[in-house]
Amino acid sequence: MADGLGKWRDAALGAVFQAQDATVRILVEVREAGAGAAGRLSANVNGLAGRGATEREQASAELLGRTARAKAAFDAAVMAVATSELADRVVDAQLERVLRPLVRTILDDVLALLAEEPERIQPLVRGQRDTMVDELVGRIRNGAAAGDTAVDRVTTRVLRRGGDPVPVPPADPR
Amino acid sequence: MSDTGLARPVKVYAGPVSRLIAYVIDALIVTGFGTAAIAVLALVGELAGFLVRETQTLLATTFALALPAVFGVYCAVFWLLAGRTPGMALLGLRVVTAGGRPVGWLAALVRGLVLGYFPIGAAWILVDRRHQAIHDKIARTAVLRLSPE
Repeated sequence: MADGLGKWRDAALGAVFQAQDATVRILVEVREAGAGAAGRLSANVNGLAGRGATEREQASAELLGRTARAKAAFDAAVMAVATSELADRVVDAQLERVLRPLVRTILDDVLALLAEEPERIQPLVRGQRDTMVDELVGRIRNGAAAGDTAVDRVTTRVLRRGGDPVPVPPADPR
Repeated sequence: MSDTGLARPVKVYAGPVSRLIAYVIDALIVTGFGTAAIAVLALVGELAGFLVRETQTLLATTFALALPAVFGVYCAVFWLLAGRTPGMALLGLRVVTAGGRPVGWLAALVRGLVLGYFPIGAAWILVDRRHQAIHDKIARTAVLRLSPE
């Protein structure tokens, strides 16, 4: 150990290191305290978020249920009104009063027009008839051709003439 | 394919199913008209005072003997005029000579009578490569069908 001035210098140096240790200790304590507070805060926030989500889902389910109940009630009311005897009477009365005379009038006009100008409807009827006949004939021909092919296949197999060339039909004479 | 891009129909020898259907249709037509004619004759005979049993025997014999001839003449007339009977027209068939020309009156008549009196000869269609029946062989004809492919 030094004497005099050297002793005071060592004392100052020891005080500096003592202060450093104290500072480090204080910083460690502050950091631990901060970490604990942050953990508690995060836990509180998570809890609040969970409760908020639960409340929101419950509100949404209630809203959907209310909407479905309202729709079912509205449908039932509409069905009751539509199938009620009163509604039937009202509709029948309107049909008798408005629609039937109107249809009768229009039908009379259409029939009178067709009687005056039958050529306007004849092509339509003729075209429809031709189309049906063509379709029927095509179906018969296709079925017969398929039958021919099937019979040819069987006779070819039975007569064992698969290697023979198929003769070509005569061409149109010009 | 033609120049217009549409599928051009090709001719093939008509097979047994097509020809059988056409034959049945024509036979039904001739039989229907023949039966109606015989019924009218029987009615006239009864009204004229012939004995019913004799009339029936006479008409049955006439029906059995003359109907194949009527059928043959019916076919021959249609082949000569149009190259096909109504039944063949429905199936898209046509009768031509072996060279592809329209049939003449003699070939049509011979073909029709042989078909009318010897219809079993049509079974030769099954074994012939050109689907020619016996009446086709005798009259030197063939039956073609327009195929869309």
